[in-house]
Amino acid sequence: MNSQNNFVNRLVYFGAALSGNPVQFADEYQDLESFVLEASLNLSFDTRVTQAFIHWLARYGCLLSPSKMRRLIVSGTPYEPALLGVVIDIIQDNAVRLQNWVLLKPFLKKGKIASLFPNLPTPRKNLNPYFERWGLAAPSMKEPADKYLLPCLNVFKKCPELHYRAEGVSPVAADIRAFQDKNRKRTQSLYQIAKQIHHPRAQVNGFYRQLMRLQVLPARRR
Amino acid sequence: MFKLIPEQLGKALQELDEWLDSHGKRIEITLVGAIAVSNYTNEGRFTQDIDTVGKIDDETVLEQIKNLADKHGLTSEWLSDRASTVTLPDEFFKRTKKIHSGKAIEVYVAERQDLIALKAAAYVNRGSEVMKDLEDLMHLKVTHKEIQVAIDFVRKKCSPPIDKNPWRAHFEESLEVLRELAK
Repeated sequence: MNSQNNFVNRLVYFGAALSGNPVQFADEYQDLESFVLEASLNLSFDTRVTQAFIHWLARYGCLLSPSKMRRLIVSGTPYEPALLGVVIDIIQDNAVRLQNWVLLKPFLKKGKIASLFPNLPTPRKNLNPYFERWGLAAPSMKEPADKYLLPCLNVFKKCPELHYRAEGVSPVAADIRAFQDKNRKRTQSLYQIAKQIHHPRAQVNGFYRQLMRLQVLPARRR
Repeated sequence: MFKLIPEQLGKALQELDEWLDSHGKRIEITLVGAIAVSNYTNEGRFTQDIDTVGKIDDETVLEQIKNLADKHGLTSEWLSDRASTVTLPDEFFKRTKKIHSGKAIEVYVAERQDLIALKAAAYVNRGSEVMKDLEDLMHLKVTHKEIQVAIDFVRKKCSPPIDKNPWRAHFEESLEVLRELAK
């Protein structure tokens, strides 16, 4: 239940209109791609949570980085291969620009036919096509998005991780800025930052210098 | 505030209570949604709205509800009277229980059997596409007797009018699913 609560609290932090306690996440950098992989392990315990996450993906999935997600998988971050397939299909169907999600194809695997919500009676008709494609029987879950998601502007006020990406900043630079927003009082090495935002150190180094040169970030003390 | 209400909702409701009091207004809320379920299971449900069957039609109150939604980062329908149009069991309000008395807001909760009947009716009406009502019934750990009373209510109040209506097949299937719940 703890990991489920943690997941729901992070989902609320990222903009879902569910009950939860996101305050604990507001002060620390929250990684979007790690969150989505974590989601693939937590979509089977509550239909409201799953419904909220589907709407969240349809709205914010375009901001995610396929290459970063691949890097996390390769480095051993746990995920569920069939549900990640569902996640990527939803992102692609709601995409407003082309992204290289094919990168993740080797890591996806269709499951044996099973119910997404094992504690509920298995739905036999009006199945959700995304889940059905990956071997999972789930209700279609077609409740309106505005019941499950907070308005974007309310979310961006409290969530720099989404805000910077939504403004079109590249994932590396957006994550550096979000990380720095939440760590103004702590000086950390670029190596430490790269490790916590899960981007290659060389890229973090390059973007950090650029952000300093353009005075977006303050100069670092040597 | 009453138990198991999500924190942000509780704060917004508290502020609404103070605002109503300062404006000489009063409202009654009768809980029928997931928060009502929490009241009986002692487990929080992942919802972010308060469903009430009491109609809220004062424009200034509705505007204040929206203002509080913006202030607390809630959906505009965090206090929703959408359920005010549902068919209620006979003498429903005689059985409701008061669970909170604020300065200007009184909060009641539907009696357990009535809540089960309303959840069963909601499941049948929404169709198998939305299973949150079924999920709430499972959390309530409904007994065979309770589900039978609920099915009788659904049959009496929500039956499709004509036998050949295409809705009829779905209706009977949904009742079968409900029966299975208590087995």
